[in-house]
Order: sequence, then structure tokens, then C-alpha cells
Amino acid sequence: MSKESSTHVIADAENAAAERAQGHANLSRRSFVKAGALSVGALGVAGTLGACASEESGKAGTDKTADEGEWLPSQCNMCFNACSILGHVVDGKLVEIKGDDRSPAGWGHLCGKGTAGIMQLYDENRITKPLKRTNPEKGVGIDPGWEEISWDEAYDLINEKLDEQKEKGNPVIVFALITSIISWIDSMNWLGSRGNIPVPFKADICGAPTHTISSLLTGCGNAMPDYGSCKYLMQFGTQAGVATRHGTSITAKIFAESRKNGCKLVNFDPHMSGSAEKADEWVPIRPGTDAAVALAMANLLVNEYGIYDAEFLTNRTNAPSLIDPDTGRVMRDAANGNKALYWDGDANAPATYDKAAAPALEGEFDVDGKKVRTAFSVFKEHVATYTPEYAEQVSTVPADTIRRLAKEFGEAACIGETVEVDGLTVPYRPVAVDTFSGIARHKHGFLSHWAILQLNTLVGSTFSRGGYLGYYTKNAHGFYEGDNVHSWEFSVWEEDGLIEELGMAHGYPDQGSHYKKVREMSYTPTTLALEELQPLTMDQHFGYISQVQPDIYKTKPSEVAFCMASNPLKNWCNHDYQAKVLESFNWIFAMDIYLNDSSYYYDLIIPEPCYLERFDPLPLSFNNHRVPGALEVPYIVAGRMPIVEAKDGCPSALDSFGAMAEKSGSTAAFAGALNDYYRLTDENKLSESEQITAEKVCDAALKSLAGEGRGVEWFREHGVLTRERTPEEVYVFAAGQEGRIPLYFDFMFEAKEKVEAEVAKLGIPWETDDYVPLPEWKACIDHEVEEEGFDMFPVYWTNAINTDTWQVENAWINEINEMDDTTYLLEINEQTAAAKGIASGDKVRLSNREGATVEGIAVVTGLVHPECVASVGGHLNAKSEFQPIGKSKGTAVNHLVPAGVPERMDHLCSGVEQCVRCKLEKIG
Amino acid sequence: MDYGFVIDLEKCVGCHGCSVACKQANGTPPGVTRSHVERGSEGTYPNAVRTIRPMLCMMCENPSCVEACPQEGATYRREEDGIVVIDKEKCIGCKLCVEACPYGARYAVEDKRGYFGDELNEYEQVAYADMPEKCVDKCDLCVKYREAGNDQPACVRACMAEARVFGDLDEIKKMVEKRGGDVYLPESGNSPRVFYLPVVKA
Repeated sequence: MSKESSTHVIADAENAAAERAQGHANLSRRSFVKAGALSVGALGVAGTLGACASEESGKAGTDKTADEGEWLPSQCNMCFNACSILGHVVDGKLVEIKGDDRSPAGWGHLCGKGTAGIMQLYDENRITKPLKRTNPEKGVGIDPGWEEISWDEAYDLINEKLDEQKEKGNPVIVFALITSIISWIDSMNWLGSRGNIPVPFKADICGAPTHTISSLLTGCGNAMPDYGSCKYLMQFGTQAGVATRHGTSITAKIFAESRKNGCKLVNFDPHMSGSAEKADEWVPIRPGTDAAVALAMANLLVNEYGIYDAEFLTNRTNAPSLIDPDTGRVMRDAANGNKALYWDGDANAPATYDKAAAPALEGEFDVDGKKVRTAFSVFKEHVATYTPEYAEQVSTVPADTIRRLAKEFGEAACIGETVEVDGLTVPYRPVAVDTFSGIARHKHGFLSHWAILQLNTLVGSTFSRGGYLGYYTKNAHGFYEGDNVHSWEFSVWEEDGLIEELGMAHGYPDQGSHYKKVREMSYTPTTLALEELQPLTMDQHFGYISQVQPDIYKTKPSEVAFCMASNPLKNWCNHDYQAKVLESFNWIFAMDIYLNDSSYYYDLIIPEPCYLERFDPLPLSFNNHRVPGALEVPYIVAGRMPIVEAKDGCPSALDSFGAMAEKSGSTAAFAGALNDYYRLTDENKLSESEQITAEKVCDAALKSLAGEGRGVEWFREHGVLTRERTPEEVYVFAAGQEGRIPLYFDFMFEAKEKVEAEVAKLGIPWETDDYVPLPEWKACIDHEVEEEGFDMFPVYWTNAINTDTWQVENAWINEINEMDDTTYLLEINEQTAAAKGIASGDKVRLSNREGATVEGIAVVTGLVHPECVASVGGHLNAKSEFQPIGKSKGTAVNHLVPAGVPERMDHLCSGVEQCVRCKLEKIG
Repeated sequence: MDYGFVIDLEKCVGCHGCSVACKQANGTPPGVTRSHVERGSEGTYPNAVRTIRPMLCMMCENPSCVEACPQEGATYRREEDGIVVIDKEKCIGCKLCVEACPYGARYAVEDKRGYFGDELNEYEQVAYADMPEKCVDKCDLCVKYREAGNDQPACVRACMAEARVFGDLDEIKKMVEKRGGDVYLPESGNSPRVFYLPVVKA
């Protein structure tokens, strides 16, 4: 438009300018921003808070001058990573959130979700008072007739219902794991200590098998590439370190620098998700077939290229174990602690693993008249069937690509090389393979994870420089100078010399042992979650079946459920089935910040404050469950502390639990549970006679972990306590840590036998085929479906700005999603779209074979596998009238995943098969 | 000192951290996205690639917006640092600059509505004080935010991949030369002072 032709526009605008003048005279935001920032600069608290402290360290202490406002530290809760934040409060209002420079949890940066927290805090749709249902009719969209009640009345009602369940000996189901891990754990301690039997039904948020296989292969429930030194990373079904997971904001800059310096990133994913976008090579793959590709790579490495770390396999794995050809079991010396037998090349005879001077990695030997091979020889033969051509047929990944990538990976491993890291000589294996949700959400998810991650074992990258690390492999120096209390290291399962797991509990890292569990646990189910039939599980997802269909496993449904900041209607599979789950309870109470879709089934809800208004003890957890264990990243102690006063005085979760414990006379028991869980030191133990509050627990937990005197007040001033990791704590094998990693899972035979005996006794259907000593690829059920028209697999993914339905309610996040070219749309491959006559902008419908449907708007791209339709989140499209911003946004493709079907469950780790053949049609 | 700005497209993960940090630091109302991430794609399956380009005002040496502005002094390039700014006391909201900018870096604030409708929430009541309606808004490399004591624009501070660098133009140009970077749409002739470092394929 030229200046001449726009005269009328200018005239209108001039009038508007005049009207505007008044606005400028009023309080300008500039004034408080400036004043607040000056106060920060002026404080200049000299900060030497560990090497993570940047030049700006210490700027952000507290200042009580009301006019200038104050900066208060806390930990974010806009996703699980719990980054360190600073909130600027002026006249009681939060006006800015930013990352806290003093903390490695974000290094002073803050992602979009974290900054957007301010719009959650000031979202008028948040609830802040207890609400009771007045309309007995339940169902999404049916107004529950919420009536405000007093906190006392709410607490009394909950106690009354819980007492009833206690008397009946019924478990109380706790739906959990969406918004607040710590509050959920506190709720478990509260319920358990008052005599109830809390059984968590967790959301399908991470992936049931991931943590188990990580703990078997690294001793830690979470493991990760050594991003800073890695030169070649292959990711399968994960976008860790780029868009999600591995403390994204902790890892992002380390991995970004690494990529810039030449680290090659290869990403296998049906959809070009966050990591694939940044990858040097995106390898689109048919869902549920990653294990076939990984096993083909293993085959190539050990049988064709001869690239494997023989020294590591011999000395740091159980690969030399001798295998009885009749049973497949590891041969053992029953007279000598049942220890595994290796072939000792020096003695030319079998010897227990700890006595074999020259263990043979490969070969066939004569033992007691039997021809016996080593586990590694058996492994080589096992993987030989997985040719790249077979894998191509299964996965659609070209055989040539598999060959090339396997070779690149093997060659990049620098097998045999070492490097000095601060004086410690460490094997240099700058390659890693990583997995997550995309692999977990299938029936054989455990086997698939294992098949992929064992590539790290083959090239010896575990605990090596640039390789594959555990999160909290060792703590040799506690959390502060002079701390000789908080330390841990691996113990060893003596029969095989294998490292044990440190668990991933959010409290003290108790020494766990999958091997001991398999050996000694009772296999008789005690609750409807049937955990005892799954010695490797960390989840309870069979409960979704047994609660609604008690006849299948001869269980008794529970009557009362507690939705602890969760959304069970949306965070599992088919929503109609989940509605049946919710309808199956006589009474449901909840704690949340919003009235989400599931709230249409609640009888009572008490609010939890926004994370910016509340105390939560140790949100990063005791063992830094959310702080990746790289050398660059110190151990951190931090608490979540209110930055602003809670709206309407809404109490923190622990305040509510404490108040209810007091009313039910169980304060002493609750105090005992928390004292134990948070390992509170004697000086900081909670009183058994004083009502428990969130602040008290937070203060005691911080003082117990960070040292006397470092409680809430200390953390308010200093933000976090950090302690540099040492190479000895990260590269533990190089530093002399005793132990091996399993290549051959002998314990699976024992588990299978015991599970089978128990289910035979119970007379219930159960599957045990996945208890195998070496990983296999097994097809998803729907891979076999040939019904005409059902030729698409819906897949979902998460980008860095989204976490869940509760985030889509956030106005700023929603604005970004609405501007984005995919988030609220269904991505369809260009070839597929052409064949089906679909164009961008068309309304389309996806239907599964059972008749469940979802609808959405198509966007045609080259960024998705031709057999797949991709969606962000999988569970968006809120239906709740009480979440008006998130309502009707995006498509919830997880509604298409059949639920309540035992055949679709992973019977090892309680995962569910999300691969489902669907029909895709244009409808408008 | 003349300022420059560079974004390393290899490091950038397209997380929108910059977008939201900008929104908060500058109190921009709905629809105003001074800093945002443009996502696109090139090529066809299976060789398609995602393009991610964080956008902000390009701080052009020859700004089309300034040239298009009919109101003397309503928008101009500051002599002391080369930052293109708007004087909202003088801006008449004609939107000619919005149309003139080849980078889509300018936004018209049409009304006083917030993210929750006519009624502003507690944060918005304070945040939008510098966002008069019927006025144009744009990135100014956080002039006020930096004047308030912050040494970096909010988007730079927020960036978790540390992909953004703000500072002396000469230093920025050296970085750009070393890594083979360039401006976006050089054919615009506007000579931006915001540069991009290229994606590196390993």
C-alpha cells in the first residue's frame, strides 16, 4: 500500500492516538521492572555456589523492600524437569519468571513452558476452593453442580470415606503421575500411614519398561548418553536432550554444543519429532519395529563387521557365562555360592566368574560331558537370524541404511581407546544408543528397549567417556563438604557379579535388586494391580483391566479412588473405556489445579495451589532423579517454595494431607512415614504430636539433605545447593567399581517359572513368552491386521512447548500451538494423502476396527511415515467446560487405542500396545 | 555501540523458549509475537527436512518500515546503537510499516483485550501498560528490559540451547563470517543486523 492511498487509514489512526495519550500517564510497567531489577543488581550477594555459578550468580537474593519487589527462588513444575526459577514479585504480584543462574537445573535459562507458568498462576479457571458434587449424574459435559464447601467439611468427608475403606480392607486407587510426582508420593505416604492400602494407577506418561531396563543395564532407573563428549548418537523413539527428557534444559546446551562440534545424531521415529528435526539423519520407521533394526545392527556388528568391545564384554558383562545347552541356563557352581561358571583359558577348565583368570568370551567347551558354549557365542547365533534384509521387510528401513548406520556406529565407538578425564583414565567410546516412550508404548516394549540398548553394551560404551551413563551411578562425597551421610554406590549380585540397581525412588536410593526380587518375592497378588505377577514392573496398568473386568483375574474392584493431579480419562487409552474405569468407583476424590475432563466423574475435589504458590519437598528427588548424571552437571539440592501467596489461602498438598492426618488421629504415623521416606535426620525429624505442614516437611528435608542450617530460609537466599560430580562418580568402571552388566538375562527363566506356577495356581490367563534370556523382536498385534481400509497407524509425540492437557489450558502455550503448523493438526504423509485424496485443511476422521473415531484437520507433510498419522500429545482436545482455553484444541488419538484387552498388554512391565490399525477418511 | 544479533540454527531446538520469554518481558498482548519461531519444511519424504527459524526484528540498516512510516519520528533507527524503535506517543497505528516489513516483524495492537477476554488478569493489568491500542509494536532488542538492569534481551537469557548471541555488531559479524552465516532474505536489500548461522550436517 502506498502512502497516498492510505490517507483514510491515517485519519482514523490519528483519532485513536489522541485517545491513547491518557493511558501513558498511568503506572507504566517500565517503572516496576526497572526498580525491581535495580534491587537485584544492588544486592550482589557474593555467590560461590559451585562451578555452575555464572557471572550473574548471587544477583537474585531476596530483598524485602516492597516498592522494588523481590526475587524468590523455587523449582518449576511445568514439566517433570523441575528447573530452578526465580520469580519477581512486586506488590504481591508475580511479574516475571526467569531461570536461576545459580543452578544447573536450567543454567539460568527457562523454556517456554516454564515462562508461561505465570499464565497458569493467573488463570481464572484454576480452582482454589474445595468443591462438592451436587448432581449425582456423572459424565463428560454433564454439569456436576459443583458446590463450594469448607476445607473442614472436605477433609471430614474424605476421612470418612477412607475410614470405611480401611475397615473393609479395600485398596484405594491413586491415579497419578501427571502434574506432580512429589505430591503423589506424599499422598501415598499419607494414605498408607493412616491405614489405607494405596495402589497407584499411573498414567501412561513415560513408559513402563524404560526404567526397568535402564536399571538392569546401568544400575539407574534413568540413563542417558554422555552428551558433552558423544560423537555419534542413535535415538529410537525418543527426543531426549532436544525437546524432552534428560532434564531438557540441563542437557540442551550441552548437546547443542556437541552437535555443533560434529556429533552425528541419527533419529529413528515414524514422525519427524523434535530430535529428528535436529538430526543429521531422520530414519522413518514403521511403529513397533525398532527392535528388528537394532537386532540386525547387533548381528552386523558381531557377526559381519567384527566390531565389538571384547575386553568390555569379557570383563564387564556376563557374556563369558557358560550356557547349559539343554536348559539355556547359566551353568553354576552349586557348592560355591551358586556362582556362574566361565571357561578359564589358563586352567583350560570351568571356573566361577570371580576365579577365572582368563575368561573365554567365545567358544564351545566340554563340561561334564556336555558341549557348552559361552553366552556370547549363543548371542552371536541368536542375532544371526536378524539380517538387515529381514529388518527392512519388517520396519521399512532399507537394509543398506541399516548396514551403513551400524558400521558408522561401530567405527565411531573407537573401541580400544582411552582418554584422560581429570586424571582418570577412562575408556573412550563416544557413541550411544538411546530409547524412550516411542519404544515403551508397545506390547513387547521391554524386549524392544533391551534389543536397542544392548548395542551400548556390545561396543562397551556403558560408563565410558562419550558413551552411555546412569543418572546417579555413584555419590562418593554427599551433597556438601563434610557430608559423610548421603553417599551410595553399586552393590553386586554375587551369583553373577552383576551390578545391582540403585532404584529410582524419589526418596533415598535404596539398594534394589531385580535378581533378589525374582528369587525371593512372593508371587501371590495382593491387589488388583497384580504387580506380584510382574517381577520386573514399575507400573500397575493391569489395574485398568481388573477394576472394570474383575472376572478375568478373579480380583475385587476397588470402591474409592483418589485422582492426585491426574487425568485418567485421557492419559491411558480409549476414553470410553476409561469412563467405565471411573464409573466403577463408588466415590472419587481428587486434588488438582483445574477441573479437567476426568473431573466430571469426581465427587469431591480439593485444589492444589499452583506450583508458584506452594511448598514441595525435594522436587528433583533425593537421588537427583531429574538431574542427568553427566560430569558437567553437579548434584543439586533444591526445594519448591512459594513465590507468591496462594490464592484464597489454598494449602499445599502436604498441608492438606497433614490436616487430614491430624483429624483422623494419624499424625504420628504420617510423621513416621515422612521421616522414613525423606530420611530426615534425628535433629529434623517431624514431631509425632504436631500437625504436619508442607513447609515443615520441606524445611526438614532440605536440612537433612543439605546440612544443618540449610533449610527453607537458606534456600530462599541461595536458591540451590550444588556439588560438582567427580569423574570417579560418573565413569565408575574406570574408577574401579566392581561389577558387570548382564548381556544374557538368566534370571528370566526363574521369573518365568515362578510366574507360571502362580498363574496356574490362580487359574487365570497370563502370558510369559517374553521371559527370554536374549531379546527378540516380536510383531505388534495390529501388524498382522489385513482388513481392507485399516492401513494407518496413529502416532503421537510431544514437542518442547507442550506437556499435557493441563498445559494446553495455558494461554501463552495455546497461542504458540495455534500458530504452529502441526500441533493442533493431524500430519499425513504426502504420498498417502494423494492416494486418499486428502489435502491440507481437509477435515478427516480416523476410526479403529472397534468403531472408535476421532476427527481432526489434516496437514499434508513429508515429515511422517506413509503408514502413520501423527499428532502432538495424543490426549489433547479437552472436553471440560472448565478449561476453556484448552477445550476442543487438537486431536486425542489415544482414544483409538483399545483398552481393557489383556492380549494388548506387555505382561512383563505392564505396558500397553498402542499400535492400532485405523482407517483414515476425508469427511469435509 | 552498534548492536548485532546472531542465532545459531544448528544449536536452536525450536522450543519457543524465546517466544514466551519475550512475551513476558515485554508484556505483549494476544497476537503480538515480537519473538517467535517460524517452522516450515523443505523437500519430500523421506528426504524432507524441517526448517526452524526464530524470528525477531531484523534491525535493518535500510529499514522498509521506517521508510514507509508517514508520521515523523514515530519509528526510527537509533543512531547510538542501530536499534529500530517505535515512539508510541507518535505512532498513529496506520499499519503501513506492518505491510512494509519484509520479515513480518511488526504487529498492530488493535484493542485492549487480553488472553482471557476483556477482563485482564492480575499479570496483564500490569504487563500491558506499554501496549496502547491502535498502535504498532515490535521487537526492540529489549531496550527497556535491558535498561532495567538485564544485560541481555529476554530471549537470549531464556534460550536453553544457548543458540542466541547479542552484542557488538563487529564481533557478531566475525562469528558469522567464521561459520558461514548470513542474513535472512538478503534480497530484501534491507541489510539486517540479525544473522543466522547455518545448520551443520555431520
